[in-house]
Amino acid sequence: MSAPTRRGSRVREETVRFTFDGREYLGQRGDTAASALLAAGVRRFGRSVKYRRLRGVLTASAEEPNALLTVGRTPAVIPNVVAPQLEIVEGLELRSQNRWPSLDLDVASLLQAGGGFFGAGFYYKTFIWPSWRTYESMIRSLAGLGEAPRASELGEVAVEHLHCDVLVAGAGPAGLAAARAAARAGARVVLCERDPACGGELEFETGRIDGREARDWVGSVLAELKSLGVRVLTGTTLVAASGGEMIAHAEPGGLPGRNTMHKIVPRTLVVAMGAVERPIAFTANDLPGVMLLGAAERYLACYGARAAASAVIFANHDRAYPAALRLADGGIRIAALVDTRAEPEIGVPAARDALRLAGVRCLAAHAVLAAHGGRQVSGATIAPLADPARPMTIACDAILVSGGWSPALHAGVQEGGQREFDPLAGGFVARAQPEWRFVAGAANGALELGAVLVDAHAAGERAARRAGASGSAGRAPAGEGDAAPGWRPFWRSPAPRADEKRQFIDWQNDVTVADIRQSLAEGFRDIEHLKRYTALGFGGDQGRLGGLLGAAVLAELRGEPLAEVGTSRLRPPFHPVTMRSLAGLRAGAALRPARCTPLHAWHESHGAVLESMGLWMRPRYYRANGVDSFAAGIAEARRVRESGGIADGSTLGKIEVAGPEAAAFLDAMYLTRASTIKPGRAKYMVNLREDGLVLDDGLVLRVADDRFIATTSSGHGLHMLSHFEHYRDAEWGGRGVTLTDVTEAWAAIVVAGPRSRDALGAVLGAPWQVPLAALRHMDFARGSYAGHDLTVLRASFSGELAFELHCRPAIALALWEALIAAGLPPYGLEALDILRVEKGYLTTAEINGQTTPYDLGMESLVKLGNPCVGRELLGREAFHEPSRPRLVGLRAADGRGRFLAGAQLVVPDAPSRPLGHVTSTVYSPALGEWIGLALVARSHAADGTPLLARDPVRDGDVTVRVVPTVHFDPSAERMKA
Amino acid sequence: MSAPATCRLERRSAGPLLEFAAFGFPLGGAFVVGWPAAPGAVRHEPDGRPALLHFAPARWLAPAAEADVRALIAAAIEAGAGVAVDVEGKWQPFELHGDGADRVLAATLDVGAALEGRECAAVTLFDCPAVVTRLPGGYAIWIRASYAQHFEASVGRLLRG
Repeated sequence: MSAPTRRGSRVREETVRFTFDGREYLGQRGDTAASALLAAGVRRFGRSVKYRRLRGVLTASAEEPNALLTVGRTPAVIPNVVAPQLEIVEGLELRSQNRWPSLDLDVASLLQAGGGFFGAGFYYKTFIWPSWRTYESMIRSLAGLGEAPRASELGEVAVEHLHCDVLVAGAGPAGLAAARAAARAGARVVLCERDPACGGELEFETGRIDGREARDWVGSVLAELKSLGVRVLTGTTLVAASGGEMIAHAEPGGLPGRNTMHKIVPRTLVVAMGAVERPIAFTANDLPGVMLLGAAERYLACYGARAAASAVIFANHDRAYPAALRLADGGIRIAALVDTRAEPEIGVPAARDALRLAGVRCLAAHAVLAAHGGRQVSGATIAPLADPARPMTIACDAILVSGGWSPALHAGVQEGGQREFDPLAGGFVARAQPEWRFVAGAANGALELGAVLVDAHAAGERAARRAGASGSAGRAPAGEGDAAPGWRPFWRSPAPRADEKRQFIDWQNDVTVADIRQSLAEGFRDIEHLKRYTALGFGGDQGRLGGLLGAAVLAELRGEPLAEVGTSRLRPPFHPVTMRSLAGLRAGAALRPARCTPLHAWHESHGAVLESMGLWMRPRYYRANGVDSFAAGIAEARRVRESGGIADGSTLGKIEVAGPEAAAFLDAMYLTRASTIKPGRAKYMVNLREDGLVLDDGLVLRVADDRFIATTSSGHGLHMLSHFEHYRDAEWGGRGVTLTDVTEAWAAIVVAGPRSRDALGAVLGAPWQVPLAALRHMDFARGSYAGHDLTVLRASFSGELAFELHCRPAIALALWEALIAAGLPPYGLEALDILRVEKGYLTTAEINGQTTPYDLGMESLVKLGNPCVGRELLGREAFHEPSRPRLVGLRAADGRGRFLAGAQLVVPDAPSRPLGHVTSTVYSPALGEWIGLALVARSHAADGTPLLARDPVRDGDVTVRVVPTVHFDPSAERMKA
Repeated sequence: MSAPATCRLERRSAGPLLEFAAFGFPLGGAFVVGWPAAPGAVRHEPDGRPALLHFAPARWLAPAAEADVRALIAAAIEAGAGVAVDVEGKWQPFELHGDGADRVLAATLDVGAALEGRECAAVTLFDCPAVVTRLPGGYAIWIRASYAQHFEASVGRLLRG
């Protein structure tokens, strides 16, 4: 039997089939899961996370704390989808959460029988004996919201960056008025609305604007905004602000999968996000059937779904009366309207009379003390506030609550905004704001339609002016709607102390009045401490629903004004955003860019195992040379020493320093002078930081009198360029020097080994024979190869006769392949590391940001006395203390033991006193043993000193001895060959 | 976010490239008529191709380095105003054409805002250092060559939807 078609502003007649907990339901196109299930008579949507209490749907918005559903099937489930936001589609599979084996029969709900034991702080105080581990698995199995997905079928998240003059957050009456004013004034406007439709409360409240029905006005404004080029983003929530950039998140249909992150940079921002209706605390106010009054109205007006057959309304303001009339018109029997205010404070006589005529009992100065019912509401206990001991019970299947509204001003308090308690609005409203931000409408404390429109129009115009627009915004719209609410504070109903543990403040975290009382008793008086002790405002709710209510109860219990107590800090995001959305495009292989050399494709297609070094991808080793990096590295290194090999050095940073003051500038940047380098020569140079620590090292080539190329280590290219630029721009008085990053303009191929010169000569041909033969160590020659520039530098990072070929990328592959054809196979970083450790050459393992030139044995460079950046502080006493490290070589005492980088160095008879650490180790095929470099206290750096390399996590302890840093060919005969 | 099927990314062949860097900014009198002196200005070839892009203060990119541009640069060097550096291979040129070009780039940058009041800009596109300028129906983009593969992959993902 099919239900009659419902009529509402958001639903169409088309039927949609979906399941909830395995049972099939029919909804209508445009329905949310909450509206469709409510219309089908479902009242129980899930269980609470802590006490496993049955819960219904409380709201019709993203604030919903109870009706969180799981979509899909294990393992690719999507948990915690907010039912009032989730638009149903054909075949949607929904499940309730936090229950086993079923919603109505949940084993863990037995815990609620001990609700008194599980109050705030229970976990902290209870699960400490004998050990947290005893309970951990059980607690973890019970904890958490919903089922965590173990697979994901979600699509890519889209990201969009846009700039505008005015961003308006919220498209209720305030947002629409502000956007129109700004657009009319000539500003480029973006309007974000988190609901799928614009209009806010005008979707169901009665009102007239500029002489027409409010709903018609909404349509006409949207048409005008379109004609003015305003971009309207519906289903999009402004969730955070950071550094002037606003993050708006769109989740179409309320379901992750087609999300868009909008990163909006506006000149000005209008916050018109309205206000969040809040509940009142009374006993058992979490029973299914307790719902916010505005939510019931929205379900009826937007979806034609009745939240109840017979309802009691419980409120503390005038708006409840016209709402009751609208609900009654929609077919919901109003059993009573319970108003906490006294008769003289109630200001809607016509509406009250109409309700009385319709037979509704209007009870002034009364309160709902408790909800009745086993699994859902079956009645309400009501009593006069003056005499709570004389209660009566009224049968109903819903209690519709409205305790006022909390202005939604998250975006208005981030980045410099302030707030203040407004007793008329009954909440904290935005106050002093940065000049570029304007708060309007209900978010600004205005709750009467006419005032909202005037306030928002003015805010939109001011925002446009501030953004530079100068046109006319026209006159503000004139509105008449529900009167100002006449709100009076009422936060919780009277209850015996024992019942306070069922007066819920935060539904999602099962925080009750009793928890707040206990927190206070234990000394957690501050609202921030209360939050952390009780979990009030944790999770997806973030205090939007119960934050102010909790603060008010704390204020009552402390006997202080609410304004003094305040609320906990409002932190982004305004409502939950999937981690996938936060990652945006930076996911999977796109997590970060990979920089590739011109030979990258060759390496990939020839079995290179690539490794990231900074952003660069470099070959670690080639699979053809061994089963793993250890074997291949040894084979490749041995081959270089025996014959020769080539390596891709294109990742070396290269900065071209040019101009009449280039030499003087470089003199200031390096520990030794660049000005003494002759054109055609290169020099090993070291940079210092301003504090005297070594920053980087590299070769500097003098190309011409006024032109140098400074090389940097691979991971340091950008850093060094930035360092140079900073010094030139901020400190260097002269203007005769330019800096150009030419890293990619020169591919680099390292040719090393005894055969390198012969093979290179064969490849480069006759024009290069003489220059190659004439090159001394650190000489370079310039010429061409295949019609492109080529520089050949004789320099070595392996201790072998070696050359660096700096060529244009266009010829790098041809040159590389020609060298291979000439008998020089490639080697990777693993072999490079072996070769350089054998020679005692340094990398970032030793130049680690903590070492001085003295630590690294560079006294000879310091003695030259060049007055460079960082030199002043080299004389510090601290740099010369015996405890300072000293670079040394290490070998195992027995000539066989393996020790690894990272091992701590101690003396064998005082193993608890660290003296330094091993920075680099390799197995040397040339020496047939493990060798290393280390930084060890100068007091223990003498050759022959025995030390213990402690490495308890990996290989254990190995006795080592200090040796010179150059392990192989100390006289450098091979390099000079 | 998928781009319309008409949108396409083309990798262009990289020819000779020069960067010219002036010794100081604001510029001196050596920068005569014909220099795109304002940051963001572009000098175009007669056929509309960008010839000299002032992509950062006191720094220009000459992607084609035709004779007239070389003459301008030579004159500036002669006047002691700056230095030219041969950067062949440093920048990989691309062109992004079609209706969805703006939307594709909006995934990383509001390029309209970046080019507001200027013809070219040094920007970061999908984490890649880049220089961008408008072309009829699209954009000319120079990506630092080592990032070109990542840039192509990033745009490709969006074009495939």
